Amino acid sequence: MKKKFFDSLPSDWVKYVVVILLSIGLWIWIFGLYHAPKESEKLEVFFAGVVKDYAFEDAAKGAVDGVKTVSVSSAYPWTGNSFDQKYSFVALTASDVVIVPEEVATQTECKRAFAEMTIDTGKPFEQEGVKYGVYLSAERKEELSAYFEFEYEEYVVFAVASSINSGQATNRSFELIEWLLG
Amino acid sequence: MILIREEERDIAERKKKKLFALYVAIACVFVAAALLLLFLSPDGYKPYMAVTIVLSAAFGCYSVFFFSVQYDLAVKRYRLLEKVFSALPEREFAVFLSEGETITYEGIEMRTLLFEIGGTEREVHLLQGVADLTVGNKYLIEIHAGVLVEIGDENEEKVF
Repeated sequence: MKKKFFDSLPSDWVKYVVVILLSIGLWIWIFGLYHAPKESEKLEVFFAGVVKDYAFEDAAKGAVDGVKTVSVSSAYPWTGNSFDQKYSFVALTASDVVIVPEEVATQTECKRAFAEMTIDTGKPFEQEGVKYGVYLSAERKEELSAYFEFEYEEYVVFAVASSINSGQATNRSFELIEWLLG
Repeated sequence: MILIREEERDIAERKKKKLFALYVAIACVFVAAALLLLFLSPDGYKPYMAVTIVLSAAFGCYSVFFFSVQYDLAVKRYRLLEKVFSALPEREFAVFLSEGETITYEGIEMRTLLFEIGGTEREVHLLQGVADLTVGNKYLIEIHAGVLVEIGDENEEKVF
């Protein structure tokens, strides 16, 4: 049988190589698919301004239990339509947590976009008597300035109402906000 | 001297089925192990993935070997024996002339023996066993589908 095996190698070696390559490719794909983060294990943070260091993503990931990825998207405020569009489509629909200057927050119809804030710490941001956001303290802004360019005096943090992490499936948006508030 | 017995066809068939059952059992163990590794793998899954890839590559290579060598030969041997014993037997007196090259018929190696039968030379294949023949002597031989199955007595007078 050993002789037969070695005799077959000149014609069959391609099959062995193909099988090995297929095994590698297939299992990398299957494991990747199986361990891909679920919607509730991903947090998307929107920042209205310039992101200085994306190391924030790793820092934030370690701060909330059960989260596999944190990603940051940003748009610079007051740049006309491009900010408005990104704010509407990315921040208010696809994100979990939004950090915006107070001026942007006041122009947003919070009732339609944000979940009611359940965190008691920090200075609340209210609209029509309902608490939707929390102001970032000066001290915390200073700490977070390693990651974000804070150009405005006041910034408010919100949990997006449509996110499943804002009370629907998990409270991870609020857990991240608690960490952001320090 | 009987060179191939009919029971060998049944043995070859049983061997073929046994080999396939063994392959199916190994395949089930492999699939179970691979799924177990997948479902038990934690977030840092790379060591688990590496073990699964090694297992998978080993099983894949075994599958190639199984279907192109091991099982393939078992099937071909069974088919050849089936063909030999389903053919009409020929019993002839033949003078052994020489031994020719070893041929490979569908992966099965057979020795070639040259006989003179009824005034013409004819190649007969020897699948297994040792044919203790002397050049120039006359033997009663039984051939099935060109394969030598039995060598009878050397003396023509004794046979009849």
